[in-house]
Amino acid sequence: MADVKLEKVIKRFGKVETIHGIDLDIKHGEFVVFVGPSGCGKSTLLRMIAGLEEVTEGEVYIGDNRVTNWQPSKREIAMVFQSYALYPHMSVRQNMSFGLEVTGQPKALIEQRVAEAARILKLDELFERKPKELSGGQRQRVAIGRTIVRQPEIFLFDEPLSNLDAELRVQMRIEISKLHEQLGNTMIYVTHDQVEAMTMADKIVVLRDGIIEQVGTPLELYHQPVNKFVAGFIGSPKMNFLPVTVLSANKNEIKVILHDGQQLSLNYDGRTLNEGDKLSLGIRPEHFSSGNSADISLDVNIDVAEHLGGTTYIYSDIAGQAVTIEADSDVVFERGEIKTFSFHLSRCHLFAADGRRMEAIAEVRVVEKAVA
Amino acid sequence: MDMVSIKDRGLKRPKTERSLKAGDRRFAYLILIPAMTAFMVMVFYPFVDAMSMSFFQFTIYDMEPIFIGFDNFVTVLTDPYVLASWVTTAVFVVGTTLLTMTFGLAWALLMYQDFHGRAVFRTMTLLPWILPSTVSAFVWAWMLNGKYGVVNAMLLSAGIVDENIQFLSNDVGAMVAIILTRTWISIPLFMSFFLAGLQGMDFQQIEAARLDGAGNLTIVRRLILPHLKPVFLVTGALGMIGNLQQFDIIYALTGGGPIRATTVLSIEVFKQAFENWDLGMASTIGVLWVFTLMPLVVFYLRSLFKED
Repeated sequence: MADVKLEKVIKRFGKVETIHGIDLDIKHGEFVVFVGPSGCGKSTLLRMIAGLEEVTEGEVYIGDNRVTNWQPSKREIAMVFQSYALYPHMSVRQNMSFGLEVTGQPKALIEQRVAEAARILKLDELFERKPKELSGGQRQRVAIGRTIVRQPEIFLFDEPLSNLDAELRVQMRIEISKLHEQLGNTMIYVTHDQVEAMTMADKIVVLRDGIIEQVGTPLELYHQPVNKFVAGFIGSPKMNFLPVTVLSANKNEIKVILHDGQQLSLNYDGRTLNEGDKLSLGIRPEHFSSGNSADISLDVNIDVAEHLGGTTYIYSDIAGQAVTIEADSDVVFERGEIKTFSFHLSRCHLFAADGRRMEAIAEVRVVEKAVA
Repeated sequence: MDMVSIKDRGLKRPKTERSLKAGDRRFAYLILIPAMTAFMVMVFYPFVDAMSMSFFQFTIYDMEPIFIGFDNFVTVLTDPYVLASWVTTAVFVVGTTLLTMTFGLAWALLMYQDFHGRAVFRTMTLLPWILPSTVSAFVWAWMLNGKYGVVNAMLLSAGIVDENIQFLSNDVGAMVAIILTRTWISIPLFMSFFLAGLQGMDFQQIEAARLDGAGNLTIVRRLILPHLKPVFLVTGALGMIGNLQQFDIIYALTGGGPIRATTVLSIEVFKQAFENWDLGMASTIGVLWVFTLMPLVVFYLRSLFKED
């Protein structure tokens, strides 16, 4: 069993602390994705699990073993790198068998494992080629093949698809997901692409500035983001945030006013709020509908309309905030037009001034009092 | 639509294209003049002069050169002492080049590691290269001194030898001394080459190999050495050429002695020219020396252009 456990893991480069005490449990067989913006520490965290980066403080466990100070090769892990890191002077076959050769495995076993991996990844025809004679996607498959032959307990992927073009990325994404299904091993995958995270993960770990913002299934993160950062990071296009000001607040209700004077009554515990506090109302682009059929209507001045065929994205600016709306693809929108879009309050999230998402206490109710 | 010509798009083909190219070429020749002049005066003319001189007898007793055809070549190629210079040169060149490459690579591997104070170390490593070579030669002569040299002191106190070794006055010792000194001076340059080669390597390959379970030796043997193969070829050729031309260190350390133990070709030419005052013979050896160098130079240039 290959559970992975991080206990108060800290990483410092000299005096700079980049990982600030991370605790994380990964169960055997899970596909876990570390996601976050550049510099959030996701790759460092993965490299600490691999043993390629020293852990400054805290412990790393794999299975029942405390492996914090173990050599990478002793950890029963294999890793796919962003640059693929294939050995350029070796053929595909040699690249794949290298790991088994250096650890002194019998020749028959090496041949059998390499053939099996080649079959899974459809690499048979490329056996005698050198990496430079392969396309990006083929190189990536060899890099994955090199990890499969070792039959590790845990697979680590460090942004493996970022050097591929969009089409190939989708294809490889599916292949890796299938591979996970086939092998059933623990896989830890680092990416800055939230689409990859959403489509592949059993569990997503969102990181920012060396701390974990939230851990959860893709849909948990989508529907119940703990804060504005996660809400904005998960989902594509990202969530819109409309500025609202508190008019009054008590234990059962918060009354707020929108930029255009609409007053809303929200069923949230508002005891920590004061009149005049600035909050954000989060609503995803896909939760808008044309016209004023839903709870809240907004008049939107269209800056840019992108007609993609299947869907249309409207870009605008509301009270200084960039807003994206996913609109009906059958309607043609023109730049400069003013259109009405509406959304249901039940789809909204309310974020406090510090970014924390506030929990609604019961069903959200709308009391529309006045439209300016 | 018809094919669009350059003219149709309003991009006029320059009328004076040919003359522009000719002008470029003229300018190229113009800026080549200083270098070509220097090369002609300092290298080509003396070389041609030496070539022709090799067919003459011209010693201190001759008022002017006497044409003797291939006699000098026959003398050189039948003189066991002069022929021995080729062997001495080969020992020096092969020994020094191998040693320099080994230590240069080892040092580069060390300097490639990430450790505190690496920049300072790297800079200090360049010191032997910066020192004038005769100064280095005297420093080593002092260290290898048979009476009070630090090398002897170390060997004695470590119990490796019972009495001082007279390095510079025995055949093998003198050869070891010039090889060591030349190696010491050349390490920085070779290290720089190897370090540049190492820095061009994708470090993730090494990390991947570590995860694969490869140890340090396997990584060096199976990943780093193959990666550095082109660097080996170029530095090997360059090192051999440089060592074949070596003069100052050997002259300062041993003067070609004891007797003729370290008389390499450069020393031989110098001795013939300025001790025996036999310019014809010196030129002959010089010409043969150039032909010895030639295959290496060709190899070096070919591998350089192949890199491009």
